[in-house]
This record gives sequence, structure tokens and C-alpha cells, in this order.
Amino acid sequence: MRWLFFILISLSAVIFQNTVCQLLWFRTPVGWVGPDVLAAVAVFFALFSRTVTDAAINGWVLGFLLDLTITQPAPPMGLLPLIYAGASIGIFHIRGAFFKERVLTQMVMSFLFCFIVYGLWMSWDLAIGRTGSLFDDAVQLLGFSIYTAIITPLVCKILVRFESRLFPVRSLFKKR
Amino acid sequence: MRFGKKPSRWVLLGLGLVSVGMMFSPAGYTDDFRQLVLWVLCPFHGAGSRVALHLRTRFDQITGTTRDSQDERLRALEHQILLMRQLIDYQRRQIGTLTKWSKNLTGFPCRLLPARVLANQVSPFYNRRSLTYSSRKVLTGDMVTTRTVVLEPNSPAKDEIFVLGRNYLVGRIVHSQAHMATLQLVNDPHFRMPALLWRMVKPGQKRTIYVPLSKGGLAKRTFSHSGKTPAPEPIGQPCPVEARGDGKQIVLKHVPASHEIRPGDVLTSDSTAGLLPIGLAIGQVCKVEREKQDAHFVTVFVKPLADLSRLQDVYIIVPPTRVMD
Repeated sequence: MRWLFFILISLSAVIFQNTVCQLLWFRTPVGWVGPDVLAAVAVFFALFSRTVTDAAINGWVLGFLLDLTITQPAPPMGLLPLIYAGASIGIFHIRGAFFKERVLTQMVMSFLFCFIVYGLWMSWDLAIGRTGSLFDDAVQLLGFSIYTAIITPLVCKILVRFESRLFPVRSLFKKR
Repeated sequence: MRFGKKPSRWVLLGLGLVSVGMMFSPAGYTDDFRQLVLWVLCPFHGAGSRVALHLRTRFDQITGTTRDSQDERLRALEHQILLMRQLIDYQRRQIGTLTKWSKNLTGFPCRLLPARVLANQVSPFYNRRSLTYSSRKVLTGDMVTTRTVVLEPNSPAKDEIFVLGRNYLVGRIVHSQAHMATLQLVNDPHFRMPALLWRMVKPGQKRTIYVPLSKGGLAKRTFSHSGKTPAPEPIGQPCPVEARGDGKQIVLKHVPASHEIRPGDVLTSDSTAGLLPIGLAIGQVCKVEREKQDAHFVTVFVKPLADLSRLQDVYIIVPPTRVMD
């Protein structure tokens, strides 16, 4: 895993998510619905990482970047990276049952990822009694997950081009 | 999981501990850290926002022009010319009104700090924006507007100024640091502020409302538009309400049904509450619903007048007390 390249991709994703990605958001009766590019990137790394530890660290870093760009009120800092890392580990472990290159797999994984991550994140709000309408939030979460699932294959298609640079193939004959 | 030979697992364990540490650390430290990161990302966000705005404008232009045929465009242009003429007439009349008012508008103590929307909230569950500004005098609780009219040296001082200026109030500062602040939009679920609800009458229209008498009780009175301007005019005394955001729009609960609020009425800030010396327009009533628990009260839904999804340049209102300091 080339970490510098990964950091560059993550930072670009954060800036994209905060700016140009806003064009993809639309208003619904339950609130704004838009895709989470960082979740799509995290799903890509969970699907294509060589080891479970790499996938977890990738998830943690992406969750941390997302956490940093959230303005108050938000659950305490540190919760999102943990959930991202946990969800990445989960995706890594179940990816063996699917063909990760398939669009449908990427979409389903992304949907599950978003649903778990933001579901837990919202549950925190619910636990401290800060959420407004539970039904509205749940519908928004569903729309949010579906939208992210739709854009994930596109994100994966872009990132797959950098696969060889991100995950260099290990030599079978190590130099001694 | 064995940690011995795998250094990356130790890193992961460390990151997990950092997360737990952050979760239980005082909110102030983590907020400072967030602000610092936003400040570092500021130029990139600024550039990205400009790209996004440009793309959106171009998209609007493209979708607006390609649909119309030649004749339709010609008709639209003729209609536009007619509208422009009406606008010129209206502005001439307004200049006259403003000249009369200018005597009352001297000595306005508020100062406006220009600020720029840095980035939209990443998560769509809240309505917050990060701002950058040049001064250090911004404090939590300061209100934010969209227009500079009150900046003019010979401007404001009357409550009715909202009729003239179209200064839309878009929110308040909830978190402020040097050169960075967080703007809570008026439709944020946590937004609360005292406000006034004005009943309006359109040109050529009459409206009957109940007016409180000095002895007590209510009397029916009919108001009509003066006809001096094409804009709707406020009638009677405004109703004091508490404006709350609900994530999509502004909600005013427990408004007495006797006020007979209708769609089209205007919500402004309460100048007497001490937050602002003038009334700034916030939104327009879009729906009125009778409350289920008590039929004597209604719930009023207000749509913000400013396009909150496209906020770019805003002005932070520094209250008179601090300007004096």
C-alpha cells in the first residue's frame, strides 16, 4: 500500500465532496439528499486492499477526514473514524463471497456501508435526543445510501486506474 | 489478532485509541482542531466552490436557453423589456421614498463584516456552513445577512427598513474563531430566535384583521394597500413569534389563530429583542396549519427568502454595543 498516494486521493475526495459534489445534492420533502464520495472511496479500499489492516486504516483515515470537515453540531469527534474502520473491516471480510469487480457488488457493498455507518451515527443523535423527526431521518438515510450506492461504481472505475500504483504487486522473490 | 510481527496492526490499535481519546476529550480542543483543518483546506475549498458555482450557473444558462425556440425567446425578451420598464418606474418611486427616509437613517451603529461561504456541510443531516472573514471581532450569536444595504453610511434605523432593503437574514454565528466561523442557517433544526410576523396586503387588495384595543379586547379593521409601491405593505401590529428551523424550512408554533396569518405574510427579525437594531426579512409564509391539540392556535411554515443552497457572499452583523466599544 502506498500511503502518500492514498492520502492525496483522500484529500482530493474531501475537497470534491465539499464543493463540486454539492451540485449532485437535491432537496426532498425530508431534507437534502446527496452522495458521500468518501464512503464510496472507503468501499473501494475495503474491496481492493491487500490486508484487513490496510482496509481498516484506510477506513479510519477517510472517516477522520470526514469528521474534521463536519461543523457542529455533530457527534463527538472520533466516532466516525471508528465506525468507518469497523465497516471497512466488515466489507473486507465479506468481499470474498462476491466478485468485487462487478458493479452490483460495489453498489450493494456501498449501500450496506453507508447504511451501517450513518445508521450508527444517527443512532448516537437519537441516543442523546438530538434528532428531529426519526422517520424523516430514516428516509433521508435511505436516500443517502441509495445515492451513494449509485455513484460508487463510477468512483471505483476511476480509482481502479490507480490500482497498480496504490497496491503495488509484491515480488515473489524477495531480495535477501 | 497477533500484534508481534505486524507493525500496521500496532498503528491500527493506536488509531483506535486516538479515536476513543478524541471521543472523551473536551469538545473545545476537537473544535479547535476542526477549525484549524478547515483553515488549511480553505484555499482548496474556495477554488472548488467557485468551480461548483460556475458549473451550476453554466448549467442553468444551458438548460434555460436550449429549450426556448426563436419566437419564444423573442417573446421572453419583450416581456423582459416590459418588466425592466416597470422596474425603472418602481425604482424611481423608491428613490423618492428613500430620500425622505434618509433623514431617519443617520447614525446607524451596526457594522457589517464581509464573509465568504467556505464549504457546505459534508453531511446533509444539518444545515451549517463554514465562513471565512477578515476580522477577529465576530462572536457567537452574531446574525448574518446577504446584502450590504445597511452598510451604507447614511442607511438604517427604522424598523420598517425590511420593506426597502431586502436584506435577508440567513442565520447566526454559532461558533467563531479567528478568521473562521460556523453559520447556522435559519432552517437548521437547532435554530431559534425571536421574530415578528407581519401581515401583508398586496396592491389593489383589502384585508380585514383583528386589532387590539387600548381598553382591551379586539376590534375588526379593514386595511387596503396605499398604492404608492407595487410591493406588498405591512398592516397592523406584527405578531411576536419564536422562529425555529426544522431542517427544511422555518416553523412558527402556537401562533394565535386570531392573527389570521396567510401565505404571503412576511417574517422578520425582532428589532426589540436586542439582537438587531432593525427588522431584517427572513422568509415568507408558505403554509398555515391549524394545531390538532388546540384549534385556537396555528402552526405557520415559512420559506426562507434567501436561496440558502447557493449562499456565497454574506455579511456578519456586528451589534451596536460592540461597535461602540
